[in-house]
Amino acid sequence: MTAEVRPRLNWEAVDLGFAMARRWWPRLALAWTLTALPALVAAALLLPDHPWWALALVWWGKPLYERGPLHVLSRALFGHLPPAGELARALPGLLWRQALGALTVFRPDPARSFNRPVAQLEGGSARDRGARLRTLQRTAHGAATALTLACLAFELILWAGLLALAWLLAPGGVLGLESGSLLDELSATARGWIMVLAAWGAMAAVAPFYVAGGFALYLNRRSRLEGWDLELAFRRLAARVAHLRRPAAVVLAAALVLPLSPVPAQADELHLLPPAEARQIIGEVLADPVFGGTETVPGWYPRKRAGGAEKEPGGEVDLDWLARLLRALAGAGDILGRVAELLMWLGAAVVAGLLVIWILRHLPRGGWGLKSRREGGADAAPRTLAGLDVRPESLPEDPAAAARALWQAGRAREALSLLYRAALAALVARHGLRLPASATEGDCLRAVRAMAGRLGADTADFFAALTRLWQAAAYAHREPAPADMETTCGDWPHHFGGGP
Amino acid sequence: MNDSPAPGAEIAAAHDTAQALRREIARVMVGQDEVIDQVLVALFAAGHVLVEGVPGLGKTLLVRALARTFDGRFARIQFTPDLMPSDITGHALYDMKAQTFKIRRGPVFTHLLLADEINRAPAKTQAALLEVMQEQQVTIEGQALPMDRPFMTLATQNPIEQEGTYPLPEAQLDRFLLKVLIDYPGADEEAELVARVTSGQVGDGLNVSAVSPVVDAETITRLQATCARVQVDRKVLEYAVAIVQKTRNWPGITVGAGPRGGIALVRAARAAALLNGHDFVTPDDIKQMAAPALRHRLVLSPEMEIEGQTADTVLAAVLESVEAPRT
Repeated sequence: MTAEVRPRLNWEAVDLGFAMARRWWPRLALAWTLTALPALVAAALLLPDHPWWALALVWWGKPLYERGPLHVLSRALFGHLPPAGELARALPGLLWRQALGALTVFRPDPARSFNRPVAQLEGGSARDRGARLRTLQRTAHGAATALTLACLAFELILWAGLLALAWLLAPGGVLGLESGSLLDELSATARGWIMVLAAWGAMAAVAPFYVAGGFALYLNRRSRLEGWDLELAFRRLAARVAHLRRPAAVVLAAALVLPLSPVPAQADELHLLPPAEARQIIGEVLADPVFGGTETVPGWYPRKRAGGAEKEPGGEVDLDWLARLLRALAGAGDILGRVAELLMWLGAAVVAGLLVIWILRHLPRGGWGLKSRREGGADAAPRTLAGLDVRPESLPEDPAAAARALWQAGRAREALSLLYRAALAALVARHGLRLPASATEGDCLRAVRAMAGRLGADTADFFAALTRLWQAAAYAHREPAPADMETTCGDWPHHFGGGP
Repeated sequence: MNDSPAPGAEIAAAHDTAQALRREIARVMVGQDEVIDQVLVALFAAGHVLVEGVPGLGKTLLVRALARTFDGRFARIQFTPDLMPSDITGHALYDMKAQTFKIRRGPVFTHLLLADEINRAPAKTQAALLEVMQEQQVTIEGQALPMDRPFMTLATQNPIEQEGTYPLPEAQLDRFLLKVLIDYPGADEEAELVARVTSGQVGDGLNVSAVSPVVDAETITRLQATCARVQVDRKVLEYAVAIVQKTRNWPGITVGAGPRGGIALVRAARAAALLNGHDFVTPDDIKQMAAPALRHRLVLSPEMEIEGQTADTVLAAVLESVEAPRT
């Protein structure tokens, strides 16, 4: 025996496992590598161009590589550290047993490191193993899962660290600041393989600790449940006694035990007891608080459907239904079903939420129904342009006539503003002109000239002349010449006419 | 805003003159039309220009050609680390015969001054020049000597070779009306340039003989007066101020342009309007001059500089976000 087996807290047990892993590190790492390295090579040969798929493949096979280290641990605990040759001979037999299940149904098992010793070291039929696992897992499952998560985190950290190291030490270039590093010149595949190698290294570093942690949890659970530590102590005692001379041992044992306890004498008597009496004594022993009592452990158990237990409508106050409900809840259906149902509803909610977001995002900006239909193709058209309101609604039916009326009323500036605005509105609505709010007259003119092919050169020229008139009126406060105004109002419907 | 708007005829005459100047300079300065325009804008607005560009792009040629177009004087000072303020402004000299101090005027007394590689001289010397630019006069031995009009400084900076230079402080950069970036010409234009310089010419000296004087210095001074009377609508003014203010709270700009930035922007826009041939400033003129008038007044945040953003790209984003004036 190389480790002190006694009942511990689960975390203490994991710590014992890590101590074992440190102690036998080389042999454990060798046992892991003996299977994991061939797997990596095989994956590389199989998928030379897809490093990430190869990594996934290697990663998927992890339960198989952990069998070697477990074998080493189980032997080393009893003082025999299997040499490499013996290990190599033992491996094929270890690998094939239950390989299919380990790689399919039980691959996602979060308590793998704890469950594996039960299958590998105790053997037994699948049904027995299931019952035994349920018993063993009752208090250790959480710790085993936490161990898996912690080891996963360590693996990721190590992986990132190894990669950072590789990139930092690669000649040329500084990480993230300039290209020209040797690694940056490699192909994506080659870089992928570097990452795969780093991942494999991280797995190799963590695996012995993971296996040993799970194994120690298993030992601890057995000590607590079955007093395995006592059994081992008795065996040690027996072994030591066997070394001594028989007669001397018997005398010594008799001298030690006889005066202290009446048990041997009683045992002799018990052999003669009739079964009925024996049963009674057994009952007494079981009832003794020293032997242990019953303990109520709340948990989730399959629901037993009681027939005809319908609620009574109306009736007097009956708390029976409450008791039934509590009982049903306490023994409510298997947790897996509940969790699956919850997940299903969560998933449905997420999908529904995404659908709503998608619909909202793809709806026309204007909103729902009539309004969006009326705005039609110009839904995203700007409402204002260079500070001018260019919405079709803000303009009169016939801008040219309205402008002429304004001009004759002596409001030439407003008339030109209206014409300019209406021209832009027509371009926006009918020709899909798009301009930001920061667009100046010059920007508008350039955009219109760029569309001259579609609009016709004379329309572009007209727009240019209109822009000049408008700028002079707006920024130089200069009244347009009557002739200019006359031609502009006259020609406007020809170019942008009909109202938008 | 404007006391008496310039009459149309005066504007038209000014525009013709500007076109003539532009044409003459373009005879020797190939493929740098934007640079020529911006330098003319600074000349009309009576401002000074900071030119940034690698050596050999014709900065000296530009200044000499410009000086020749109005028959003006031209001086060039090569800034070096040992250049003293008196080397620029001049100094008093004791005349043994007359037993009096005589004032010897420095190279700064000219129409066009090319301050080559201004960032190579120490701060003291830079400050002397910048003071002359601002005050338009030189004080030697307590005697104030006014500068000739027009007076314009074109300071150059080299964007590479920052070693051993004294970068201009922000406060002094502010005194330049415009910062003009001069870049390599296009392939066709460069071929044209090489052809012109190498045909029938001994050596590679600058030949500005193709430029003929079109006006005199007096006309330039009058032009500057005309430019100052170009009309600016209140809305346009507010647009310029809005742009300047936006640079002060724009993410990515640590220090925005001060009020002097707005003043420079409107002054430059006036000259640009004149150059474009109208007697009033439009938002387009403001937009056109925003980059040269403001780019040297911004301090970008370190993150933006690391990202490779320049003042011009940030200014473009600022302009994009400022609404053009509402009328």
